[in-house]
Amino acid sequence: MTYAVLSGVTFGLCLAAAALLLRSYRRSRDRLFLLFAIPFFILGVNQLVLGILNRPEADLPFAHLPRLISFLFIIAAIVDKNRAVRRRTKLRLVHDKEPERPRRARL
Amino acid sequence: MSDFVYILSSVTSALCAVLLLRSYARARQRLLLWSGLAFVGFTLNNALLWVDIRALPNVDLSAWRLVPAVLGLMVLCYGLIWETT
Amino acid sequence: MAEHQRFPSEVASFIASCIDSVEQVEILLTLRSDRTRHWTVEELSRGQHSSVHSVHLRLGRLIDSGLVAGEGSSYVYAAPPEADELVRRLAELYADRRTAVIERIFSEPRDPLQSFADAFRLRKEVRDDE
Repeated sequence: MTYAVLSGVTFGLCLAAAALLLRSYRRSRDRLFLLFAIPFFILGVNQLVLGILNRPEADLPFAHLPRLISFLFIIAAIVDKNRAVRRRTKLRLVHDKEPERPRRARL
Repeated sequence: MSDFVYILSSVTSALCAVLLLRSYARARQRLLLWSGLAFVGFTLNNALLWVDIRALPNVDLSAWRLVPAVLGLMVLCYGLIWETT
Repeated sequence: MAEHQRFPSEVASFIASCIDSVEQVEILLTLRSDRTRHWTVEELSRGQHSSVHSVHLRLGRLIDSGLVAGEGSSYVYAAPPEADELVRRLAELYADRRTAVIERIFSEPRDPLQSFADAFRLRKEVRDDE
């Protein structure tokens, strides 16, 4: 019973986190947030299913797959962030600074 | 295979936690603190999953291991709501 | 840096919200030094040794922040009392600890989302303001 309830709570919070990360993606235009939002969604649904079945992962043969996929997304996000230099083209959210100002190039 | 996955997920979560908390130490941005702590929770969740299945197969940790995940998610949501402009 | 900890936070906020260049500070302080005088852009640019265009830009920002008023083709210091107090403190700090003020001007307020995303860079570039 506790497991089912906590699974439901986890599902709800995962969806909330995924939504907030999607919002962050919209605001920042940084792909990383999208690549993080998807895992939270997957893991949330995963936990919901486990909760409904009331069968924690121990018994299930493919229980590790959603987790694998999710973490591959996260790893992809980190790799993507560290790949070759991309020019930052998005406008900064704070007021624009003058071009004459000495600026360290943001990669 | 599943062992590998659970260890991978623990390590990846831990990496995220370290990266976020390290940045927090430098930049003092609150969102980094909350999300870093959240990933600590996720690391615990993943580590306990492995422990539950492999190290202590006779003990059912299934509900317990969700607790750090829930706490982590709450903290993450709080951070994403309050600490973003 | 120890100095950063002692930098008054109200002045730091003031800089973060209204000031984005050293030239702006100098123009502001010049205007403040003689409050009743109406300055033209040419006069200010001569004093600043910078272009009329640049001075124009800075004045525009200062007007947006409500610190300066433009009357015809000249400009006058027009900060309300609370803002004037902050400008006074800025003037003091600029005289005493110019480097610290300049550092503050150039340290950008960080967008939290960007900081989050940047946290995942494994090889950090050294930021100027850390």
